[in-house]
Amino acid sequence: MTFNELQKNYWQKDAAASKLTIDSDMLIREVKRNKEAFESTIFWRDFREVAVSIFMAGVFLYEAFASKDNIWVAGSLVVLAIACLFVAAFFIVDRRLQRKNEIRHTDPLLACIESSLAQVTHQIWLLKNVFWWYLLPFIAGISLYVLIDSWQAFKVLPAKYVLAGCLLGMLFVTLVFGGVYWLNQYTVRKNLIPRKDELKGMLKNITNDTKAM
Amino acid sequence: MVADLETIFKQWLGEHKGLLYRVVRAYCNTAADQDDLFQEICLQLWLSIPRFEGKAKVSTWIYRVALNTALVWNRGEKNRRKHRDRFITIAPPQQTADSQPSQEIIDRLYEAVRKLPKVDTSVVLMHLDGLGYDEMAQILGISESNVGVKLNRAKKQLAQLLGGLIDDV
Repeated sequence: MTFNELQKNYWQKDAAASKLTIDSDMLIREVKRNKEAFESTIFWRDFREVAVSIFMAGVFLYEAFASKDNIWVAGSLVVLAIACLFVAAFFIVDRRLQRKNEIRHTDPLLACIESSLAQVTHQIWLLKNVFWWYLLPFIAGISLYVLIDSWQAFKVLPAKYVLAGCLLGMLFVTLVFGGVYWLNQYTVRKNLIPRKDELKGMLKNITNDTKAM
Repeated sequence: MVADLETIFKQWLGEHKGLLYRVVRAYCNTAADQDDLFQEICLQLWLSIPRFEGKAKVSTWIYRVALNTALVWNRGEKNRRKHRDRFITIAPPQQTADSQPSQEIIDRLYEAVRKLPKVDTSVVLMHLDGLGYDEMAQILGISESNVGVKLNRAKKQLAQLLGGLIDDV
């Protein structure tokens, strides 16, 4: 059989495609629901990331104001508030900068693959560097607070209790933030790098012949 | 405007359901994946309607949205759908002595198309549907001569996968 025969006699006469029935009303309802679900996911993601950071900054500033008699504790709480505001600002700036990489399904295939690849590459960069832009500001703020609090506790409590408390606090911080770091690196290895490789493969496939010409 | 969107969407679905069916079947094997991809394409089509200016043919536009969605669709991502019903139903084919072998060939063809690299799948799909090089170039974002090179390579690979069914590639 020739390719043309396969095309004309089989593919284009495939009865299944013409016997399709689509429940368009139900589909439209589902499409609208999916659209709302998508927008809601984006909204709550941004809300979680930015609003929580701003809220926590407010809480720390309030606590700093309440502890204004103790300048060292108040100072460490202000550092924590600044850390929260830095993270919120980072999220906002990053989202704005990344709008240019948004996937547009109406673009040509090549452009769509390129923007998907740029998006995944950026996600990998973000998660690989999560320590610097997310964890470090908090770790610095919390460590400073714990150290200052412990240093002041020396005045009223036996040294061994203060040291134990300080070590426990630092251990807790290390475990929580270490867990967050590990989870982010796991996502990079498990999901994002294979996805990036797949998109790179597609891009290579579509551009290889272009270079060969 | 919402009513207009719905009218246009229904019209596009009605006129191009075969195209959507073929894209979904060419990229997914299981019914669940086909349904997920179909819904994702429909969502992207719905979102694309306000951007459609009529400069391209509707079929070219739908092809572009459907193929882009199929290519960058990541089935590993958390599924946000709750509705598990199928939106597409296919009337059972009338089994005649003649139709069975042709259905077998079509199934074999889809199986082979699914084994091609994703970009080649889109090229073969458009060619089988009878799109010209100019339309394919518009959809892919590459030149017409590159489409020719890519199509020849994909056809050769498809012929190999079909194991002697085609003899002129």
